[in-house]
Amino acid sequence: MAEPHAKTTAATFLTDRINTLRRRKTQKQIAHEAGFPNANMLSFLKSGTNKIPIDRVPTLAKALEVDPAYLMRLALEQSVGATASKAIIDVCGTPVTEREKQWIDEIRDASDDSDPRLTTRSRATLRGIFGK
Amino acid sequence: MTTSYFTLPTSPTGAWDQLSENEKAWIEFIRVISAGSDPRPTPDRIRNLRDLLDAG
Repeated sequence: MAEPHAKTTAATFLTDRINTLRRRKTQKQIAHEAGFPNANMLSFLKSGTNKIPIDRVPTLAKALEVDPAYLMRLALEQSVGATASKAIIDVCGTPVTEREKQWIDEIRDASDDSDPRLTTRSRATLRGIFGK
Repeated sequence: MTTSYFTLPTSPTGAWDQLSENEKAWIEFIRVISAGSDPRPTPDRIRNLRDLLDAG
């Protein structure tokens, strides 16, 4: 079977995310939560046989427990290509999630609104916070 | 002829262009190192973040 979307960032991300969740959710559960009637659809998305349907991004992101804005960026890139995807994002803007707003509020509060730069030390600390 | 539109998810919390360039850099880095998992700011994570920013 042809796999025109194999090795795209979206296919790789989806595969990794499903693997990460596998102790808590089966692929069938994820497919059901995302609204795919056929559980095989996730296998097709992972292999790159099919691209992520744009209209399924919100439910798929919820099922995968990921940022819908991030998944939308990957799905757009897979659907229309990197250049067109960037143009769409540039025009429509990048949404900020509720949790990202909480991070920003903490950064502003802890820095007394000094708008701190992301330094090398900041990056190292964030890597430590997220275990990377 | 029908016209279709892409609908991007929006958030009640605000748009990207309301952030400073430094804040965008923080959020973009968090997105990258968390693989886009939209991580929760837990008390432990906030304490580490505050330790960093308090140290200047």
